[in-house]
This record gives sequence, structure tokens and C-alpha cells, in this order.
Amino acid sequence: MVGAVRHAFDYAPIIASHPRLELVGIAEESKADLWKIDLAQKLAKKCRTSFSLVEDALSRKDIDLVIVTTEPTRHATLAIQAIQAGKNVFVDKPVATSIADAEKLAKVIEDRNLVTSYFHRLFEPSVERAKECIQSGQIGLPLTLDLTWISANSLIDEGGDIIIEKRLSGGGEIRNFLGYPLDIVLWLTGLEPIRIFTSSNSITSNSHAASGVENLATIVLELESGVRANITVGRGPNNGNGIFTTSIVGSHGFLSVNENRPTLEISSTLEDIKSLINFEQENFQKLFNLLLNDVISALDGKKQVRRTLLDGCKIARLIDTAYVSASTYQPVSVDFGSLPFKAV
Amino acid sequence: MQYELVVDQDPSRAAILAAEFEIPQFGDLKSLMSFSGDSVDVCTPTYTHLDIAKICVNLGLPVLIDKPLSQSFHDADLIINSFKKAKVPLQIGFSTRFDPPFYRLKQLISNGVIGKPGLVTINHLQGYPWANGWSAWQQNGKKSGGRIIHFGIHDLDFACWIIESQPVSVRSVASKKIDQGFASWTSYSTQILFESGALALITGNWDLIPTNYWRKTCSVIGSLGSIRYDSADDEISLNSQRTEPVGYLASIINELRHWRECLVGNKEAIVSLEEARMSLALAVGTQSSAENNGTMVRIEEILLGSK
Repeated sequence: MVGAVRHAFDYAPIIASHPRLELVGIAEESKADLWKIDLAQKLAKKCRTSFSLVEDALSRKDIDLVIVTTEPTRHATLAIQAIQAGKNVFVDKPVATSIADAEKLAKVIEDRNLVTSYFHRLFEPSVERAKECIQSGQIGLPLTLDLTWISANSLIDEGGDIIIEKRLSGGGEIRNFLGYPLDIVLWLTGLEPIRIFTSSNSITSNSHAASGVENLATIVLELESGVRANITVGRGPNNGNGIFTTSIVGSHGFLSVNENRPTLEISSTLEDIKSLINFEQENFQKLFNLLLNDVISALDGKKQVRRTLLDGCKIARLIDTAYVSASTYQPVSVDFGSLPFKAV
Repeated sequence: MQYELVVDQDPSRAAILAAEFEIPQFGDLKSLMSFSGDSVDVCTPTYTHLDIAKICVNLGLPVLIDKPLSQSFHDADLIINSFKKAKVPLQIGFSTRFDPPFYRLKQLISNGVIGKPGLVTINHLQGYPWANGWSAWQQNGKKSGGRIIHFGIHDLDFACWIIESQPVSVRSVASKKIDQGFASWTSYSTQILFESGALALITGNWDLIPTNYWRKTCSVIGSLGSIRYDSADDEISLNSQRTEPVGYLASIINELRHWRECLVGNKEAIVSLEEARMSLALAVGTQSSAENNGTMVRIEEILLGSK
């Protein structure tokens, strides 16, 4: 593991207890701030593994997979270093915090036959269920999607400055959370994004406002074929369950997911479907294990990962586009530029 | 409260309604001239509002009129100014405000339960119920203003009401389809920026299959907490073949009760004329932005344009 910031302390025990993985060390850059090195050493001690400098760790021949868990603004740079050292890489989200970083990362990945992935939520039971419903044609062709991703977790518990200090986070809650619903929209529809409209504010969070970053945002994403996704993301006050919902209007029906209940409701004229499906509630440990299993299956040569770092770069680019729209208060066309992206 | 007279441009339709609800008198618009009741409830197509309102104000009859007051600002202002000048009570029927769960939601927010509102999202899903029949005028933009102005205005108005701040600008995208010869909006997504800095994302879809489906969700994120209502949480609306939305009848009854309290008890109107006017400006701005591919529209320009 490279870096021991933010989610690293959650990830490490899961990695250490995975039957197919051995956590061989925690690494940090020699030029890193002392507090980051201190954290990495603490995590190494906690996991009874070694601490080393990134430069030394990447030269080791016995490392199959590098997991980057630093603050977001170093994700891309360290992923690039690992890839250039010939390592397979898994990166915490967001994979990049600038267009330049996303382009550099994408270019490095392009020429190498390595397994790369990042933290996404496409293995969540509700998303899997929704995908099944769409693929089986139960609601026909998707027309409109509405997704709400409002966390009620404490800013301090989740890392404080790592989320709101731009130098570390690369932005506010758009940078932090928007990747999840964007990924879900692209995964469920299989469509390319065309334009983004974003609005954001920080009037309900003094911490975010003081750091000059947003805590709430609304995003309208236009996709190919006139399909539209309406997304709300952010961090509300630290109480309750948060709001995590997805609803999809299709040409022949409708489905809605509420993570807090948790149920998936389908209403369709096809085959006279009208039902409620219960699904397993989100479980962080299980989700992370599914992501690790996805990477391990790819390392075994059994299948490709559900999301590569190239996909993550595409999401990073969309997030940047959302920020441009928020700052200009105008719709912005999605342009992947010279990035070697394939359709998701 | 009881109905004394029902009038329609087609008196035979008025007769049917009078018989069904045991209303003593029926007739055409001229029957209003000899009407001795306390107020008039105007539930006609939007394009008829101006002419009917003129008759009522000239007769000094207080009016509860269905939203939107008009498709055009010019006509809306004519109506409002004529009632103000004559000092005759006028109220616009924004029934969503009187829908019990939405009314409760407003009360909780006004009581400070979630602190200062920062973000409101409202998602309205509805089937496609008017492919034919008497209410097909609602498809016709010239008669109703179009679906965003005719239906969307409920949610736009509700967002303004709970945020308690003036809308500054709006950006919208929408989809249309041709039906009965009219290019009619079937869905829209609108982002609103308010003077307080609050945001709203209002989305509507009237193209849902199955057609008898109706659902509305509303979430508000504040500085101290969040609040969410989903009409599907109501047992009545889950797995049942409803033909009317939850709270619809209750909201109309509550609205009429309130109207009576305003007339008899001098109670302050829940829907002020200025608020109704602002909601119309927001709906017109939303539609204008959608027609211009999402270009931002400033509400002030809509209000100034009306003058």
C-alpha cells in the first residue's frame, strides 16, 4: 500500500485478511510531509508489516499489486510511478484531480499490459440489481435517471482536511463523491456523455465555505440519444442515514432504489411486472473485497476488471467538466480531447 | 361551504356536474351576473382565465383561480392589478402547498428543524394520462402554456416556498414529443439558483409507463439536518393501481378550507399574489431556458420583460 491517508486504515485490515493477498508493506514518498510518513509507519506497525520508501518498494520484484491510498492530489502521480515500474495498480477514488494528471495517467496505461482499477460502487447489490433489470429489458430503454448521493457522515471522521483542503483533495464534495453516481450512470446506460450542467454551494457548511469548496451540488448530465441523468451529491449535516437513491424511467417501466430501506421497486407494463425486490444493504468490507476479487480475477487472467484506470480517468475528466460548469454557471460540452478512451 | 352554481361555456356540461354534486343552479358564464354567492372557484383551462377573471372582478366576486394564473405575464399582471385596484380578494390555487405531507414539510423547515435550507430536490414522475379526452388542452402550449408551465409550476412554486428566497436564475433542459399535433414537453430538468445561495434541482417526467403511476419525492438539505418525503412511502401508493395521487383530494379540500378562512376570518393567504407571480416567472424562465438548449435565464429579465 502506498500512503496511509484517509481510507488506508479501513482498507489495510481487509487486504491483510484477504485469502489471496498478502500485505507486504506500507510505503510513503521520501519527500512526503512528515505527518504522512508518520501515518504510514503507524499503519505498518498496526498491520505488523514493513514500512519503506516508495522508491524502494516499487523496485521490489515480489510485489504484484500496488494500492494507492494517499490524499487525492497524489493519486495519479503515484499510480503513474507504479505503472512505470511495471506494477498492477488499484487506486482510491478519485483517480486524478486535474485534466493534466488524468491525461498523463491515461497515456502511461495505454502502452502497458497491466491490471489497473479503482474504487467504484458498481458491485453494490442495488447497482447489480438495477443493471440486471435494465439488461433484461424489464423497463425498456432508459430515458431519465435520477441519482441522489448525500452523505451524512462526519467530515472529521472521514478525514477533514483531506476532503476540503484543495491542496490535498483537489476540490470539495464534487471531487469526492460525483465519481460514484457518474460511474453508475455510464455503467447502467452504456451511453456517452454529451453535456454537463452543474450548480454548487457551501451555504450549509462553514467548514467547506472556509476552505472555498462546495459541500452540495446538482448536476444534469446529457447523454447520447437524448437520455438525461439528474444527480445530486454532497455532504449534509452529520446526522441520520444520508440519502442514497436511484430511479430510472424507461420506455416501458420504472425502477427505483432506496439504499436506506433497502429495496428496488420495479413497475413495468412488460410482463405485467410490479414488484419490490429486497437487496443486501451496502457493506463497505464486502464491497472492497469484491473490488479486490475483481482485480485478482484479472491478475489470474480469468476476466477483465469491471473498471480500469482509463475509465477512472474518464470519470476524472467529467468531474473537471462539472467544475467548469459550476464556475461559469453555463452548460459545458464534454470533451475527452486526445485521451485514448473507449466507450464505457 | 357549499356550491350554489356551476357554470360552463357549455351549459350541458354544467348540468351534468350540478346533477352529480347536487348543486342547485347551473348555466353559462352569463349566469354569473345574477350569482349571489360569496366567491367563485375558477377551474377552467388557463387560456380562459383572463376573461372569466374580468367578469368576476367587475361583479366584485372574490376568486380562487387554478394555477397558473395565465400563460403570459402580461395577462397575469392584468388580472392581479384589476383585483388589487378593485380590492377584491384573489388567490391562486397552488394545491401542492396544501398537500398534507408537503405542508408538514414546509412547517418543519419553517420551524428550523433542519436549519437553513441549502439544497432542494423535487422529482415528479407521472404517467401519460391525457392522450385523448376533455383535458387534452393541457397538451396544447397555446392553451395551457405547456406542461412545464402547467404542471411543473407546482414544484417550482413549492421549492421557492420552502427556500424562502427569490430565484435568481434558472437553467433547464427538456425533452419533447409530438402528440395530437402538439410538440409537448415530456420531461425536464431544472437547476435554480436562489438569492440566499441555495440551489434546487427540479425534475419532472410525464411520460411514464404504466400510465397510472404517480410519484413525487422531495429532499431538502439544511445546515442542521435533512428531510425527505417520498409519496411511495405511503402504503396507498405502493403496489396499488391508483388513479389519483396521494394527497390530491386532501390538498384541494385544505385549499378550499383555507380560502374560506381568508374570506371569512381575514386569515393571511398562504399563497400571496407576489409569490404566485414569481412562480409564474420561474416557470416561464424554465421553459424559455429549455427552449434555448439550457441557456441560463435570469428571472429578473422575465419580470422586467413583462413590463
